[in-house]
Amino acid sequence: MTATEPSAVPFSAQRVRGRFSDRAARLASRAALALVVLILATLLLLILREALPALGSALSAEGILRADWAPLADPPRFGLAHAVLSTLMVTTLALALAVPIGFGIGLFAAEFAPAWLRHVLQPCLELLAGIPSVVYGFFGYVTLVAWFERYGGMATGESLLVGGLILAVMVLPFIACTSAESFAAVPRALRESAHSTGVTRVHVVRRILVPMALPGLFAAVALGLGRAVGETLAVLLLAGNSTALPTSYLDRGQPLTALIATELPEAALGTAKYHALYAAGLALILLTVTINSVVWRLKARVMRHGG
Amino acid sequence: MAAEITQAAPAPGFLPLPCGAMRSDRAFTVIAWGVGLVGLVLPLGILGFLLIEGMARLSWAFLTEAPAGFPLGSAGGIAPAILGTLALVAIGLGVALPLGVAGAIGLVEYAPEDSPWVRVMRFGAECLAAVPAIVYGLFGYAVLVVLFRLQISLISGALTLGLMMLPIILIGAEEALRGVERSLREAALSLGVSRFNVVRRVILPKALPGILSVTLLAAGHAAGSAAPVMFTASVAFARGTPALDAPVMTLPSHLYYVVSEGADLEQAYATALVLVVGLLLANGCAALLKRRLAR
Amino acid sequence: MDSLQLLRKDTEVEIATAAGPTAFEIDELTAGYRERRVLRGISCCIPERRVTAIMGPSGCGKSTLVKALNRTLELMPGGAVTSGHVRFRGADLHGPAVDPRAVRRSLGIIHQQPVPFPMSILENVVFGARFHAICRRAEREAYARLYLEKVGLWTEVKHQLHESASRFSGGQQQRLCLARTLANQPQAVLMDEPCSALDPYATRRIEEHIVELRDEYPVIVVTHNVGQARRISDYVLFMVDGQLIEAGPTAQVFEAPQSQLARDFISGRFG
Repeated sequence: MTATEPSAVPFSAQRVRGRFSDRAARLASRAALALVVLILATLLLLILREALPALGSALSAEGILRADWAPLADPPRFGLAHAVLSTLMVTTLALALAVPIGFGIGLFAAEFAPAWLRHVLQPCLELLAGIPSVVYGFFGYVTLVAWFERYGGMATGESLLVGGLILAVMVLPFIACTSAESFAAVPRALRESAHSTGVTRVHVVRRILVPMALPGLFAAVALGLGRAVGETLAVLLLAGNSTALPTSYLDRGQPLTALIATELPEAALGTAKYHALYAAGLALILLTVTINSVVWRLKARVMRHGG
Repeated sequence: MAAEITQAAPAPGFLPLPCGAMRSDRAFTVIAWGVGLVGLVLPLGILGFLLIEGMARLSWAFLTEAPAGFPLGSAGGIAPAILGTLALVAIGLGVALPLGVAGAIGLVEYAPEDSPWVRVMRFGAECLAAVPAIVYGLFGYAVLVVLFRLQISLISGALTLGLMMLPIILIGAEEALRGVERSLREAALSLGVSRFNVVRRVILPKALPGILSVTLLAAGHAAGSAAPVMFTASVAFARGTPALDAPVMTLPSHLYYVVSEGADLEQAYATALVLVVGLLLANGCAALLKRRLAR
Repeated sequence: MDSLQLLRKDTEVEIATAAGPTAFEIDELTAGYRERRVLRGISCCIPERRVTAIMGPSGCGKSTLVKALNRTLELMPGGAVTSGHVRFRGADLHGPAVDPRAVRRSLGIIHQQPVPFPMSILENVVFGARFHAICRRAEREAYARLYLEKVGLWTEVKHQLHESASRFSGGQQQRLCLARTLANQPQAVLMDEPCSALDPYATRRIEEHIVELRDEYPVIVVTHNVGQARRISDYVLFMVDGQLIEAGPTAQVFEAPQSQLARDFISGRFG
């Protein structure tokens, strides 16, 4: 309690309330943080531990990077080559489509669209981002796959092409929103002075907006890449789940995530198959961490621009 | 060199712009509008497709009955899947929300600003938020199902989803707390009350819409992903109310099983619609909260 | 003679004889942002090859007016001219066949905050000129030099033409922006509080340039600084609350203001 009389009570003599609760809160929040760190460290270490046995001879002809997936062979081979290639192919296709369109939408939202349209476009993109992976898989299955079966002259419509197309739709909102943000972050004054020299919009975009937004655009691509690589259910349903090495986009394939989803329920603990699947998981983690550090750095640069 | 350049005499009226530039500008504008329309048509088209196809097959019985028929899911409803998804997310949030918010308070209020620890934690959390959902499935399987012998059960799946939501909530809550004006914090602290009191009475209420918003987003994300629960919690069929130590059905994995069996997709349309509408409601609420916060 | 009448439209002939030919004719101009009307019927004439200062308390619409004069007002969110006309040397700015970009190019503007573009100094100067095909690629260094000399930057930057302008001081940046505008070969120069972000020394240099520009262009300078208006301008428009209160030759307005508001503003009791 504070002194009620004006007489001089030395500060040290005044009792301060809340010392205990403060200390408790500090302790609790630190404990929560420590728990978070602990859980996350366990996650990394555990997946690393389970993956290690498969990493030993990764580069040899029998290792996970070069061999094929032949669990019934003698001895069985658990190579990830087909999965890595499938992941590369669907991701490349998805980004090749989603990056130009996503940048276009971002630019449109930041520079061309009237205010009311922008307020419609934003929730639409959020809607696209909010639809879960499995629904995209289902949607692709009943539209694109059915279409390819009927008109594409293919026995089954599932293919890397279909997987890549749907994946493009899935990463589109992330690329569009991130690029729209970085275009919009270009200072108004800069835009206005550029326009006040009487040049056309395309000139302002090319000479001012794109150079200024460049780090953000890179971040958008990196973000889309991370999403595309990690998507599971859509490619599981659409890419065809074939363990053969794909040779074209019309082939069926099995990206890393689909491989894990298909095989883990049937992998006995501690077998070579089990370890190979965790190695695939480790590859996904390493990739996302790398991408994230790139995004982290780019974001820092964007912020410096803004400040 | 300089002498060769002469200034044009002021001409009356306004000089026309270069012709090529005008043409490219017009083409560019047309393309930008075209691409912008794609951004409108694509989401509305997909939503419209699901709405039209799904509404035709949706009924009250579908929402309240268990699946039936052969192959399973070709008749009956999806009640156990709805219950299972809700139970998974609710228990997962019960773990992730307190941990995430407490961690965020620790980072914002009880750590020195700009300390390297805060940066490391943020970076770690952002990486984890970006790790694919299937990796959480791998982790949940190895630790919860195998190591802790929880088997494939509601609790394993809920904890896995909780782990997946944790970094998202941690980052979101941290941003929401940091978004509270510095002046507010300083004014409250200058009254000599404890920091915890300030957090509880001033900062948290102010940041609450932001925290709720990100919690809804994380919950929607978790409710919609099948990958982490496929090895930890879900089975093709479960009956009755979900129990902690028994496997459950979930909406996304149910949809996956029905589609991958590929026999009868009639019911799948309605399942997809229920899932999407549920998630859109959650996301919509999150967006509304965020907008309220911005004002 | 009533000085308020001097620049008013109905006595256009008088001002043409009194102050030389007219550059801008502004006729009942109203403009604003979305629902907010900022300019409420401005009518006046602005003479050729003179410095005309627009002054008034902040928020009176002087920036809006100068932005309406080269159609950059439309770039602001919701900004638009709602009625009235602006003619420059007889050509209607808002005429149906007039491209706003052609107007912006011909009537250059300098903003309050100097904004160097994110490119080299050289590219900054020829940004608009290259676009408008005024200078060829091969001669852009010589071309840029011409305008950098004009604003007194050449000796300071001749060895760093290919570096970014972001390390410039505010005054240097503003002179770079002036060079960029002049390189567009405009027919008039508009300035929106060009010195309000600068220190007194840099301000003086810009003011010297303004006075020099008078020989070639009609110059309009928006300022809230009474002293600056007195130092550099030949004519003064005094605005309050979106309306023109007083107009006339600088000496006349400062020595014998007609309205109480202008008298108070000049003496520092208001604004």
